[in-house]
Amino acid sequence: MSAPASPAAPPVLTIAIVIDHRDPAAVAEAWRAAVGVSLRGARVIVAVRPGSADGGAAAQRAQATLALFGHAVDGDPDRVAADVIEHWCDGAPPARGPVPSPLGEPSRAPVVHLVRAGRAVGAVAADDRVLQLGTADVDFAQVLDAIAAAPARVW
Amino acid sequence: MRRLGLVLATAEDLPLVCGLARAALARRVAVRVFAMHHGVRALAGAPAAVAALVDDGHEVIGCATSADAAGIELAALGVVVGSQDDHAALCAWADRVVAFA
Repeated sequence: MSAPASPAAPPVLTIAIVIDHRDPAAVAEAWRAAVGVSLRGARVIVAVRPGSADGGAAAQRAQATLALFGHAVDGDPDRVAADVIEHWCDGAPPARGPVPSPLGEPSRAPVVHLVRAGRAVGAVAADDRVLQLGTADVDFAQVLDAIAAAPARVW
Repeated sequence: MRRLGLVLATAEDLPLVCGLARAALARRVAVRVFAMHHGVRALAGAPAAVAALVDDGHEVIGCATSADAAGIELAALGVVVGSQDDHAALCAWADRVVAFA
């Protein structure tokens, strides 16, 4: 007699923590968040922009913990693809321009970039959408529609 | 989209969180907010905005570690005292997550 079929397992969520920050405390918090979001079985990718601050011993412990459990701690901040993108950034001008996918390489899924006041967007692929959050009359309904259509990355 | 998760880790982005939450309410999209780092300071600095979120039926959770470090009493604000596990739970619960960090 065969065992009853088990229900299909839900897809594993991928969560990216992108660290692009010059404040050591914020970097340490981003690493703490990266460990935090791993607690319910998600696959975590951490991508650190060169030039970001050193998060200190706590960040090193978090990095070691995540690596020990098989999470990626060396992602590319310009090409990260995930269901959830937490972008820890301080508004420093992004060093990169638009990043098109190389010919022959499948594009990552589109992302909606939400750009706060005084900030600039960095890596934008051809299919991405960019919305400004910097004006006083933000159309949040429009932003909500965009969020519904694609993962959001806040700059 | 039925469930929207909002992560707040900055001092200045609470108005954006509130704007999205209001738009979501109008669409009957459930909202859960998780605040950490400077985000808990933002909640403490805007109790009326926090009360509006809670009154609208949104769940607002603050990281106890961040609150303790800042000397902030989350429960007095009507905010659920939580942990990074709530951060992970929000990501698993939501159809979409927007992080202001």
